[in-house]
Amino acid sequence: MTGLDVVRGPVGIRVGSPPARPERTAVLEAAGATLTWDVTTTDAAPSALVWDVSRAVEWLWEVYGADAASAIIAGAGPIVAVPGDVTRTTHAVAVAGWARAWWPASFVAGVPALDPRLLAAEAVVGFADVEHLVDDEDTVERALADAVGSLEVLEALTRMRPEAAPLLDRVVGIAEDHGVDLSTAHVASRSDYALAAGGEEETAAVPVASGSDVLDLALLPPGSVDAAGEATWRIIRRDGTTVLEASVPCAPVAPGPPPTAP
Amino acid sequence: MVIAQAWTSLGEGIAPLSNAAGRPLARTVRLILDPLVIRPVHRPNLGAALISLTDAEELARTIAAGGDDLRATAAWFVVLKKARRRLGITAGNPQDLYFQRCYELARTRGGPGPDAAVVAAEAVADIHDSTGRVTAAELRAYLTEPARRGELQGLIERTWTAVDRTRQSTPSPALGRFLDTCAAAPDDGLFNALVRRAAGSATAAALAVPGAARALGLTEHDAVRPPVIGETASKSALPSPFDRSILERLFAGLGALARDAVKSVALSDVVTAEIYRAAGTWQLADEPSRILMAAGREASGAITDEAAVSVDAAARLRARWRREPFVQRAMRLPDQTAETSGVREAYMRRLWVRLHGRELRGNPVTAAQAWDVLDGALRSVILDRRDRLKAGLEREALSAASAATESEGR
Repeated sequence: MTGLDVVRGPVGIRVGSPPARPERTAVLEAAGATLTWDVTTTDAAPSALVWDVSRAVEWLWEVYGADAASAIIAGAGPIVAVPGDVTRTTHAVAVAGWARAWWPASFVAGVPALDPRLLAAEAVVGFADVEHLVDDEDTVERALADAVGSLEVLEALTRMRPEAAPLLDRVVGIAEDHGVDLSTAHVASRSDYALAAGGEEETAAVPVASGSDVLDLALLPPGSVDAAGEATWRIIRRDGTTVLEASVPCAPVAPGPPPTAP
Repeated sequence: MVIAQAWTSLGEGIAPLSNAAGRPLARTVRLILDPLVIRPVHRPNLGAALISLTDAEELARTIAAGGDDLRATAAWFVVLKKARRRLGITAGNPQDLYFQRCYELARTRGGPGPDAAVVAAEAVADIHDSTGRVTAAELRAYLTEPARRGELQGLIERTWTAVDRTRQSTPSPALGRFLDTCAAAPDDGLFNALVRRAAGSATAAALAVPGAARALGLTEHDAVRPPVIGETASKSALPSPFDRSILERLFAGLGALARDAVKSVALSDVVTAEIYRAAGTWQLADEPSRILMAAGREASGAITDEAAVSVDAAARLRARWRREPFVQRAMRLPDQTAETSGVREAYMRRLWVRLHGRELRGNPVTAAQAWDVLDGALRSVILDRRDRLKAGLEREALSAASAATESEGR
């Protein structure tokens, strides 16, 4: 049970306060309200900005419980949320979205990468479960479009861990219900990309200055750099020009599915 | 909550129309519950989001009374999906395509009987039967046939010059009133009055001012030109709405035409209607669509400009745009909302495309749907921007990582 303040403001009704930092924020864009969870806490009930009461009224009670929902609609808090199944599902969908953006995969810290195709498959199932309360009616279709290529990963996973079979079945069923074919398209994996850049052969370089700094992950795309890595830089003189070199360690990548048995 | 409880009390039989949380699917509400069971057009007291206790009881009774039909609908949906699988059909969204047919079957036949498999196979085959429906190849063949071109070109010229685009008419102040109320409490009477007074068509003169349609992103030209018939069309390279050829307009709307599982239409009628539509105000045929375009013009200026907020609908569009940076930061996307150029234009184009599609499906906007259409167009523009941003970043991350991996290996 969680106590949350309710404040009526110019942009809507605020329930609790959103997490202070984007890298701690899991979001679900619901119909008439934006739900937010702090991933560093275990609270199931989200903070929220209710921006269209007439839409949110349809489902607020499922996320907060009936009494709390009435209080939110009346703009009268604080409320005591009573999380239910729907609360837990919305939380899980939001956290899957967070993991896609912020999962701190790192060689340095030994945090393995998550497979984006599995996260996409989980998002499909989660969104389908709470499809009645999301802002955009085509959310499940958009999630399915993101999950193209996830079937082969799920099939491989199911061969190793039979408990993944229900997830596979659900994704297949949801794709069928929406008339989306997940299997045909080929998704480019990193090994499909040729060498995109490479340095010239170095001539003698004269170091001038060097240093290192922590990375601001918010400025770097998800999956690009080691979350615990640091940026190193040096200024050198080479062939009469001054050059600033900066380098960052790249992020680990989830392995693809193992080859299928013949 | 009333609907959810009434829905749950219908029992297990309606599971195929529900999600895992036991609530009706969005399309169950939009395609079956609202239009066929609750029918707020006939019972406006049941349509509001917050309803009185007596109305709530009536709503619950209405849904409970429809229980047998709904359970039969659900059962038919399962049988139709099986038939679809057997026939190897993968095209189209089964909920979109089958829900209303299932309800029809439920009303006429009750639940699936011993002959269900045969009936379902026929229904599915009929829904996916393309005869009598327009295909891209037919459309192109029809429009490019040399003997017909002169005739169609003549019709384009006649319809285009028959419309007086400069006639001054006073824009209706009632449009502002409608925009002030359409989100919270849409007023049928007010909307119908706008339709009667042709308040959408009344904006024709304002749109005919050189550069006006271009400023809204609807054309690349200062002066709007009559459409050409066209010879090719590509989904990925469609010009702005008013610059589209007749072929491109209908090609883009083929999905809308094909989705209409009920009636098949003659190609010549479709083409003639499109030529007349293209000559009309906002290049749309129905007054409700024209009112929505006029409303979009009125409200969309505020999306990226706080100072332009005039009516409630404008404030709500603005608020949607303002919420975007927070969501983008949480998704670890760079905030692009400072880049506001082209947003209003993209919005007006999206709105036009949606209204055009509705016209092709013969599904004019009602007062109750107006805000949903206005808001939905902005949501769609925002989500597409986000998808493009995400795709761009993923490409960047991939090439950065592969470059790093390669150079490490050296």
